[in-house]
Amino acid sequence: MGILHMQPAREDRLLVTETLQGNQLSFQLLIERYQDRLFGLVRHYTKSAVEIEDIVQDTFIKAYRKLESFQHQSSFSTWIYRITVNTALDFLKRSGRNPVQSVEDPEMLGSTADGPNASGAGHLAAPDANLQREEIAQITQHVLAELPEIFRTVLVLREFEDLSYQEMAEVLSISIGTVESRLFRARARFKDALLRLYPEYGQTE
Amino acid sequence: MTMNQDPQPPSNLKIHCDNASSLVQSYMDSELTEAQAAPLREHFLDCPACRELAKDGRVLRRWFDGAPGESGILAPEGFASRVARRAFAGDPGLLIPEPRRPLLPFLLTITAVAAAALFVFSVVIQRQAIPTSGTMSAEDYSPPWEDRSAGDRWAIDEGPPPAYVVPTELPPLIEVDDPQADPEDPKPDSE
Repeated sequence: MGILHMQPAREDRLLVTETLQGNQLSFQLLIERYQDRLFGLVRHYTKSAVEIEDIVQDTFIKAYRKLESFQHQSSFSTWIYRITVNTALDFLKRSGRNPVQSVEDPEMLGSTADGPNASGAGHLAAPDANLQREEIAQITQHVLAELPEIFRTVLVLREFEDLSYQEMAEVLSISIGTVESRLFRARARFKDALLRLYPEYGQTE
Repeated sequence: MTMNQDPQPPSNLKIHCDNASSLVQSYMDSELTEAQAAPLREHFLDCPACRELAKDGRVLRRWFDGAPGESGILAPEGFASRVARRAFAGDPGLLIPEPRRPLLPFLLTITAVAAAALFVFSVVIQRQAIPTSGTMSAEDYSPPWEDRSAGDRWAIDEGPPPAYVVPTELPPLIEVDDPQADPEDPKPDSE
C-alpha cells in the first residue's frame, strides 16, 4: 500500500518509523505534512517571518532529536504541536516578550469570573457584513495580541487549529477541566478586549 | 458547578443556570454527546439568560470564522529538505538555549554566606565586649580594642610608668622630741 493511500495517523507512524531507521527523505515528508500548519500556528506568537521560520525549524530539529522518545501514545500532530507551542513560548520568554512574565497569573485573577455575565462588558456584535475578511482578521489578530499568552494559546488552538479539548489538554499538558476553564476565561477576555479596542462593535440593547 | 469540574452531566440530570454556563461552551464546541446536549437544549427553551449566553458564543465564533489563516505565511521553498538535512547532520537547532550558569541562585548563596559571616562576626565581637564576671561593677569598662593600658604608651614614649607599690610595712613613726626624756634611759616597764 502506498503512503498516499493511508490514513494520516498511519502515514505519520510509518514516516516516524522510517525516520528512526535513518531515512532522511521520510523526515522531509513528515516536515512537509506539517510545516504550513506550524507556520500558521507560530504566526500568532510573532509577526516576524524570520522568527517564524526559525521557530518552526527549531521545532522540527527538536522533534528529530526527541523522536526516539515518541511512543505513539498521542498522535504525531499533537506531539509536534506541543513542541511548537513550547518552542514559541520559550522564544518569547527569552526575548522578553512573554506577557505572563510581567503580569500576575491570569488564571488566578477573578476579573473574568465564571457565570453567564462573566465579562460584564455588554454584548458583542457580529462582524459587520461590510467588513472584508482581511479586516476581520486584522481586528481579531490585534485583539488576540492583547491577550496574555496563556489565553491566546487556547484560543488559537481551538478557534484556528480546531483542536478538541482532549487534544488541547495533551498539547498543553493540562487537564480537560483546565482547558475548559482557561478557554472560558480566554473568550471572556477576548470579548472584553474587543469591546475596549473597538467599542463600535458593542451591541446596543 | 465550578469550571474545573467535569461539565458533562448525566443525561438524566436537570440543568440549572448554575452549571449551564460551562456546559454552554462545551455545547458550542461540540464537545457534548447527544445525550448530554439534549437536556441543555431543553434548558434553553426555558431560560432566556442561557439562550443569550449561547447567542454570545455564536457571535464570538463569527469573529474567528471571519479571520481565516493568513495564506501569505507559508513555509518557504525547500524548507523541509533543508531542515531534514540539518537535523540528520546533527544540528542542535538555532534556538536551543545554551546551558547558562544560574546567576540568581549564585548571588543568593553569596549573599546568604556573607550575611551569616557578618552575624557570626558580630556575635563574637559582642561576646568579647561583655564582662565575664558575674558581679556587678561600677568600674568603667573599656572594650579590648581600646587602648586603656597607659603602661604600653609609657613603655613606648617615656619608659615604665610609675608603679604603684602597695606598702607591705608601716612607715616609721615620727617621733616627737621630749625635752625631759633621757635618750640613754629607756622607759621603765609599767608594773
